[in-house]
Amino acid sequence: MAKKDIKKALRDFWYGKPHSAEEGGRRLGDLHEEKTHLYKHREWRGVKDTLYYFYMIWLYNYIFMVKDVMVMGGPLNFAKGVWRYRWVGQTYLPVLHWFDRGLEGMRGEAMKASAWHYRAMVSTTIRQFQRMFAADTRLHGGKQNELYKHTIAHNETVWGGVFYPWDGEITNVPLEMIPYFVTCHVNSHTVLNYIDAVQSIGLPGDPCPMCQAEAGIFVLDDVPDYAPAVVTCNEACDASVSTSTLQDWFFDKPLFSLPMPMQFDDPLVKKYCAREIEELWKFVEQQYGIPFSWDKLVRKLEQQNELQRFEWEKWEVDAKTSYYPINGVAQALYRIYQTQYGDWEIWHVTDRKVRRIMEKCVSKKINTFPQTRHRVIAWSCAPLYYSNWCTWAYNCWGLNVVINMDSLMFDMEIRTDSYEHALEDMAQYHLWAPMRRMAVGGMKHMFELWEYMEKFNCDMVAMYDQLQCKGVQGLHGLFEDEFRDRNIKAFWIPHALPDSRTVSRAEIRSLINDYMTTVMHEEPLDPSLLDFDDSMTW
Amino acid sequence: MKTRKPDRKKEFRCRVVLAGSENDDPEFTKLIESCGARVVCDRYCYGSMESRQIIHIPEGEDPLLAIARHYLETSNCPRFMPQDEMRARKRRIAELAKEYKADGVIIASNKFCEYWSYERVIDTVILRRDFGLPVCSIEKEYINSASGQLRTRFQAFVESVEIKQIQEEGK
Amino acid sequence: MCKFGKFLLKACGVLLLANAALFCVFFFDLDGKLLFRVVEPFLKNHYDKMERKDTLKAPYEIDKFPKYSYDS
Repeated sequence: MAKKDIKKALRDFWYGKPHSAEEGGRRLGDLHEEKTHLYKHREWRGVKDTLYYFYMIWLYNYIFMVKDVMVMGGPLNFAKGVWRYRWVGQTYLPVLHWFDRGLEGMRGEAMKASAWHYRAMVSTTIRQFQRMFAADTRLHGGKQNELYKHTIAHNETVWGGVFYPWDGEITNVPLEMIPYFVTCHVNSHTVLNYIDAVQSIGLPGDPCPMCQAEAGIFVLDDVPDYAPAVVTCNEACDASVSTSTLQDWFFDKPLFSLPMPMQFDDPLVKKYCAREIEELWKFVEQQYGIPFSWDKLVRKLEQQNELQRFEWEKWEVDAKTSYYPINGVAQALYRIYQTQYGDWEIWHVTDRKVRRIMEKCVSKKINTFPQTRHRVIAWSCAPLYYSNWCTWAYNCWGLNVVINMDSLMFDMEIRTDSYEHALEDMAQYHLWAPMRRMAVGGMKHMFELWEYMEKFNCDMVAMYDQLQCKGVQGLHGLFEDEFRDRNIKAFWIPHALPDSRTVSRAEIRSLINDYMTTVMHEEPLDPSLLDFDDSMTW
Repeated sequence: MKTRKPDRKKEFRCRVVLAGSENDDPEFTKLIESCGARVVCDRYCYGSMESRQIIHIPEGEDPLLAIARHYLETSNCPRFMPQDEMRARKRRIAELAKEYKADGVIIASNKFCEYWSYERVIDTVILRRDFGLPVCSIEKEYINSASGQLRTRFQAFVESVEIKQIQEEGK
Repeated sequence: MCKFGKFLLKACGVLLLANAALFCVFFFDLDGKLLFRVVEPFLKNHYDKMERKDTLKAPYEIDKFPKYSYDS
């Protein structure tokens, strides 16, 4: 072996192979087994990063997942839940592979910070399903225990913050966040059972598959019976309303529907939105016999505001520098999870860790994504079964998804100086909910894309095209026209939200590959990632 | 047999309530009636049960307010979400069937109308199971193009209603 | 060497072996392979065979819940 080769081999061992093909790249695609996308062996990221990944991500998360299960509900409830509910056993056991897919190819501070985001999501997921199992009458011989009596179920699109006034006394657990939303990211096959189930009872195939799946969990009798009352919502769209009718039937419990007005910029409408929130609070008081607490609401809102302020700091770094240590998928998922679920201790713990890493990157000017060729903004609703497409896009093409639409929702603090102000801002918060403001919120809001492109210094748009979303479908042509008129480089990612059968991951990659070769005339950073078969992967 | 006078030929073979989402295509109703079913009550978005009721304006009230109240209080659109409303809608269809002496219900949802897509799923089960009403559940385009397929469905439905009537008469 | 020293040496040896074993599981994705090829198929088979109640038989009491009204 030549001296040069030995030097290179030692360098590759110590630092990990370089990213791009020109530099004798790492060829991440060669690590995967055909179809399953399991690893022949996990990536060698250099001594430091590999050991960090092994100890602080892989082992740490396994240990802390076990700890979370032990502390939040116990192993017996967990075992019963796994045995009873498909969405646990089929999905959440291979959760470390979800980490692997999202963090593939990442090194250094970006790997560390993004992994903390994943850790927080995993912990909150465990907390939720353990609470479901601990309160579930089906797992406890039909008995309604104390936990059952102090839990409230709600649609995943109901903002968890509306239950802040009962913090510590009533625990809110979304009905579909864990059985549906998170499963799509971790194992894309689970949700297909639910979509098929609801279609088997006569529902047509054209409604939004998210809502189909939400109803399908009930059709397959795969929802724990963990709460005496439920709150549903019309967010984000018609299909959510309609899903409530099916959920009402199968859940058969007192149900409060929270119809948030669809007009966004009319102050009169905000007044009605506020009224609906108050009606919801009245319902909770009536059902649980526990009074509303203004002090608890204030405390939780202020904690939430703290999270929002840090999020703005992160955006500042993201927009103006190349030192932002969070990758596209971690940014999107963490933000939507955190804001939709509401304030929780783990978010603050995670933010403290991420703050330290971010400050280190800024002070030492660490370029966290050094192979960035294009700064991309992702707009509209992302494909849940391929949320880590941005990791692949960075590794293959140097497309760094610096910000996405879902992150930009809920972009406000809530005043706590008076009840009226708090209620007014909470109403506004609802009007700015995910998929509301920028996906179906009217031209002015949908075209906020251009302002954010400028703010985040993006030169490219990844436009998600949810094929079964009636709201955004009608605007496809308008966006095309605007991209042309404004001379914006944009590519479309068609998908069916959780349903990987309509547009496969391979097809999404192929569309991006075509765009990058035929329109942008670029060569891939890692050619081994261009074309591979991951049809059976989680 | 020689002296027996034949029964008077019925103009239609059964009476149906037509429920569902938007329908402003008279050809659709004609198609149903050409299959032998008389539409005795129209409870769809542009039908008389939904949108051609009298709006009462109390003495001294603003007409606009009266119209708003009317829509909120009388509409059976599945977009209304209060729990009691969600359930009462099913009974209203059954009551209409009783009031208009209908033999069955045709529920027609438009493609892409989310509300009625889901509502139809429930109605199809509940109206049959809990109210004993024969139900024909179909999805249609806004402008009726699949008339051949729909004709087959309606004809089969009319026959099944007739068979049920014969069986009940025989009991 | 004293007893404690020997114990310490043994403990280090065990820890080192455990580390090496875990690292092998990690590096060769043995956890993923086990879950994909053994655990998941077993559980999926269990879920597919599970007896589930027919949810379409669930009762639908029209008057079960009171009429909703806004208090002024």
